[in-house]
Amino acid sequence: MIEKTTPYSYMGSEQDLIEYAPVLGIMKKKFPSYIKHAEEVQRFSRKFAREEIAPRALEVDRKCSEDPTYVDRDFFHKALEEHLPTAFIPEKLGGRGWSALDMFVFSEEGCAACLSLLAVIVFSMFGFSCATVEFEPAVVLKLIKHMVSEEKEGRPVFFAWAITEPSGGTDAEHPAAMRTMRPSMEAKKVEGGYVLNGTKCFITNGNLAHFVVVNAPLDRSRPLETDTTFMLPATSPGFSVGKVEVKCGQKACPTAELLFDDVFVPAENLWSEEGKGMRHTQEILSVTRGGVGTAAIGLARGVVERTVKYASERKVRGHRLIDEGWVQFALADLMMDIINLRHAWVDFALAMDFYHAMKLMRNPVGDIALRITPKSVLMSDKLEELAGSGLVSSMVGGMKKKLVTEEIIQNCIRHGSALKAAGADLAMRATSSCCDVVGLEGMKRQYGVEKCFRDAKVTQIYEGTNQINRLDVFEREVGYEF
Amino acid sequence: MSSDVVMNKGVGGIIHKVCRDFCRNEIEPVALELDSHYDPERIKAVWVKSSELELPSMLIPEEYGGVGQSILTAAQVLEEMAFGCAGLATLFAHHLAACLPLSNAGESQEDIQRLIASNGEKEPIMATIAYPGFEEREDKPRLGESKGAFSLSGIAPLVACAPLADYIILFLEEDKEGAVSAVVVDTRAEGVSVGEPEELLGLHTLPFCDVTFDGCLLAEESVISKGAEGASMMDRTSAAFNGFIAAVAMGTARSAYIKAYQYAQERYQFGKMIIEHHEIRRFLANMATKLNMGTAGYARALSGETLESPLSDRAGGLAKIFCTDAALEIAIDAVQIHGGYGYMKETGLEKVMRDTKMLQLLGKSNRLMEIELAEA
Repeated sequence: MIEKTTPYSYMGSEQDLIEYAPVLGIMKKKFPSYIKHAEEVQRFSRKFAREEIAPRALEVDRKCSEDPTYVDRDFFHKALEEHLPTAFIPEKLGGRGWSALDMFVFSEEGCAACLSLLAVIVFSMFGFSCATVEFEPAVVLKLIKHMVSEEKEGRPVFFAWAITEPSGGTDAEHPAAMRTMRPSMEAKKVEGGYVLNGTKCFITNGNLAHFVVVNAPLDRSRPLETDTTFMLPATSPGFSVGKVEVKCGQKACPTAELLFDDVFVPAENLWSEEGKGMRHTQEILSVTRGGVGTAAIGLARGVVERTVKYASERKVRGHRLIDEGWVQFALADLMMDIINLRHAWVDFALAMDFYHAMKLMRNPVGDIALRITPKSVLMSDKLEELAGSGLVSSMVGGMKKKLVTEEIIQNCIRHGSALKAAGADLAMRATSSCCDVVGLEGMKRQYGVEKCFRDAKVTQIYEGTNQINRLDVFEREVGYEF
Repeated sequence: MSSDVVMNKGVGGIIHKVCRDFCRNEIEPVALELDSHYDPERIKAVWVKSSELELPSMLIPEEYGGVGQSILTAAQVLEEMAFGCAGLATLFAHHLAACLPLSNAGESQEDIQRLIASNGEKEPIMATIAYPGFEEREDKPRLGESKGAFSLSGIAPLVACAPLADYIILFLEEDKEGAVSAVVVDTRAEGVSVGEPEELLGLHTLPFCDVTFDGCLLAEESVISKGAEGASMMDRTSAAFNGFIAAVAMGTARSAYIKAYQYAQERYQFGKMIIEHHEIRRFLANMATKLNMGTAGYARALSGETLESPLSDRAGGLAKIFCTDAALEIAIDAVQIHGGYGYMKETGLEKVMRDTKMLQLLGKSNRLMEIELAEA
């Protein structure tokens, strides 16, 4: 009999991080500040989710149904006040200094309240993670400074990461597929830079973005060999936003078509080396897919919590709906998978922090440098200049390549893809099962269950369809190479 | 590939052809628009048009001016309609199910049956059904009786088509276990108020509203049935209604399947059309299997032939479970095959996904139905 407040009562989870994943308790002994920080982030995330995300979720969803370009400015304002868009930037540079573990904790808690509102913030971070992954020190510093100063003015900076084209999403994410891709985008080399033409579609935050990171081949007939990543401000002449899509769910987070008509990109905004676009994409995916999987698990938890609440308040056959055997087994099935998959995301987040690019932040040299350098110097133009000099750039780049090897990237794609596909499948199954439990009456908008169902489906589609994610897992398990 | 190729040519012949044209000309063009914006006028227009084909009076006996068709034929008509829009087909499913207790009542409900069968001479009246909910609530509708007069009080939650329907056939639980009253309520009668349409996950093309009865007086003949007989009438009506919903599920799922099949032949990925990928073929074959089995299953359930095995007399409910579950799976897979395009409103597939999820919950949620149907 569930009488007291349960961990599954809606957004009132009392379970702490170490109860979630006992391995973190063991970690805490060795890395006390790292885990304590994550615990603080969890408390913060819950409060933010309960007070700022959950109360807005349904209203924003409705407004976006009427106008897909609607944006809840007040919500961004709140997110900015909490420095969420810059949370992963070191504190000394003006951010919150979040680790990957912190970010993933925030994702699960936030998505339990509303996947789509959270996606606006988190997907923008994904876009920015392009910068940290590539780790061009000058560019990173420049963007950090820009984000921090805009944030002070109360203006969020959005990034969009443009991979998918009308002719293919899967083709743009897999090397063997890209070899035969028929891209619409092409980048022509001109004096001082490149000129981009073509169309990207289904780009998350595309219409909000201030900066767009975009992949385009230098030669359409050899897309894989010439694929290259560029960064451009949304104010670039020739760049425009096409239609903003009317979607089934995840409405608070807009999806747009991006049009490139002779857009000039200066050479300094080359984001990857020429022809290394696919490798760059893979590096990003090695980080982001795990994030999408975690978001999906958060969504699954959220719908189960809503359903437990609903079923605890309804009476049938002389007891509560939740006391019915079929309800208990339906929910137990989901809880079981949420518990199991949560270990997978904790594991993945630790891998990010200890093996992947985030390790640079935790690297003793970088950490000490950050500690001893005065803030005024860190934020000065001089450092940016220095960072942009060939010497420093190649030094940091070299350090990164040594620390984050190809093997690590491939391994993180393997785990991230597995997490993404499993999380998304769980989200879909969980939302569908929960609809069955709450029944027709529970489909009323106010209970939020139907919104979860609409939101869930997209997790099986974006960040690579679940099919390409499965293939990515398989190929790495059996050792295919491209 | 057009729908004609997939369509089973064996059954129904001319009725199918007529319904398919009706679906293409009247339902398909308005479905997406009605999904975004509820518009009673346009729904009524489809309804009026359907009466030219005598669809509303399909199940009314010929002696009262109806067509007197079989329940199976009605289900097959619904399947065709659902190909264009599950919501509009569900509206007809509620009406046709409501016709059964009316024709059961025979002469006492002759007027209503004749009105339904007016067939295009004037706007035909619409009926709907409402079951006693599973949930225990204080405000459940109750039938009071004093000195031979009946009065109805309480709230019937989420009655389908309530603001459009002229009559609601309401099944009410009596105090005695296993006893049910079936009553006919005129929605314009005093003491009946229909609430605003609720925003639900899907089936937006038909309104679901709470209906409040406040001491609504009923004539004696409006109480069609009572006690054990009423319960049996409810069971028979449910069996047909469940069969109808199974048919609706198959119709709308078929539309999703055909779109996915076509798209798989046009979409190039990984150097070939995606239908060349085994995984996509597995999806498609799976969808086709479910469609074929489900369509045969509901037809068998409604034909009256039953297997000699436990529970097989509950075939209508079993068909609803299988067909609506299968339809949701088909819809989800059809969206998946379309990738991002499937998630966008304009493709019409996400609507099928939302609608089929709702079909699983109509009458009773499938998971609950399983528990009730497997009762010894």
